[in-house]
Amino acid sequence: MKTSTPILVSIAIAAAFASQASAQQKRFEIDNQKNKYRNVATIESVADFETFTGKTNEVSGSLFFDPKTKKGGGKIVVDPASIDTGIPLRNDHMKSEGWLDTKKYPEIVFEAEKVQQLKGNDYRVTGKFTLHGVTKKITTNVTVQYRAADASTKTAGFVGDVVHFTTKFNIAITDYGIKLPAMVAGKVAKDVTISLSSYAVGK
Amino acid sequence: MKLSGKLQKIVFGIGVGVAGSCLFGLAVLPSIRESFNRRAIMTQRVQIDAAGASLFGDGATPIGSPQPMIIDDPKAIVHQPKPKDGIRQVDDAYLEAHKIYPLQMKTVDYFVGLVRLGLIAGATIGGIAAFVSKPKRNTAS
Repeated sequence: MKTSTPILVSIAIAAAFASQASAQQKRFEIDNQKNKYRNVATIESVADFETFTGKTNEVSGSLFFDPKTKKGGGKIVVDPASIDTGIPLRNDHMKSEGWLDTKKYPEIVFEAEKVQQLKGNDYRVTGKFTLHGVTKKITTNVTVQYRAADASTKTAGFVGDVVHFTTKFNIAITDYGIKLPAMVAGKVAKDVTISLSSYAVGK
Repeated sequence: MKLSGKLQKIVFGIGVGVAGSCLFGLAVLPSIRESFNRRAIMTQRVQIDAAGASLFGDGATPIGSPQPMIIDDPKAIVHQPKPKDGIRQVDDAYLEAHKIYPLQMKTVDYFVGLVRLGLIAGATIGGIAAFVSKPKRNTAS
């Protein structure tokens, strides 16, 4: 393989709702054991040379959600060292000091601070997004679907009420202290799209 | 700079050869690109979750955005009676399991662009070299 094709990647995300859990809000844990493979966090870089997507199923965290009032909150954590871009050498570059430095910064975190229901299952969430040790406030749209425990949730492999949430947002990796060397120009984009699709189960 | 007669002939020959080869390359380059393009299909990598689909109606989580790729293994393509917008879903788990990293058309276009620039430069340099070293005909008779 040619020179370094570092790749950045990280991920993390957002989701959830309101800031504080009230008495009515139920706690949901992201199912990162039995249904781990269903949680997908990705980061996509669209550059001239190629578009690549890093993916991981290592998503954890918890949410609070009240399906009646549509209020909630939560914190989601993604393991950046587990992101796979499809090319082992690129994965190694991505984890290295010049990029995500996953030894020093082992978590990508989104913590919801403010949640506003737009309509139906659509929410606007503002929160703190931490990548590469840098925390910034971001706002993203999140789709949240709730299903009370029944035979179908059991058949699908979930024990308890289920919340499915998805979101997608863009960041500039350079805003998070990651430098793009000239040698990767055209191979890695400065602006990347982060997305998350995850399931949480009511405890 | 003045070249000796023999060297002048060699430079002229190389110049003509390089320029001709580059022009030939420029002529066939679109066909080569098209041969890749014919094999490319618009695809969307997805993570399949049939059981999850029964709950929320979406059994394929997109991995990245749709793009034209060359998928040589048809088993990687998810069977869909009617692909939405003509975009074929590709099973990400299958790609992973078989260590397939599909070639993207944008990568082909990137290289085609680089090769085109190189061929234009080669044709220009070769042409100039041939022009300046062109053996002069003896007009004295």
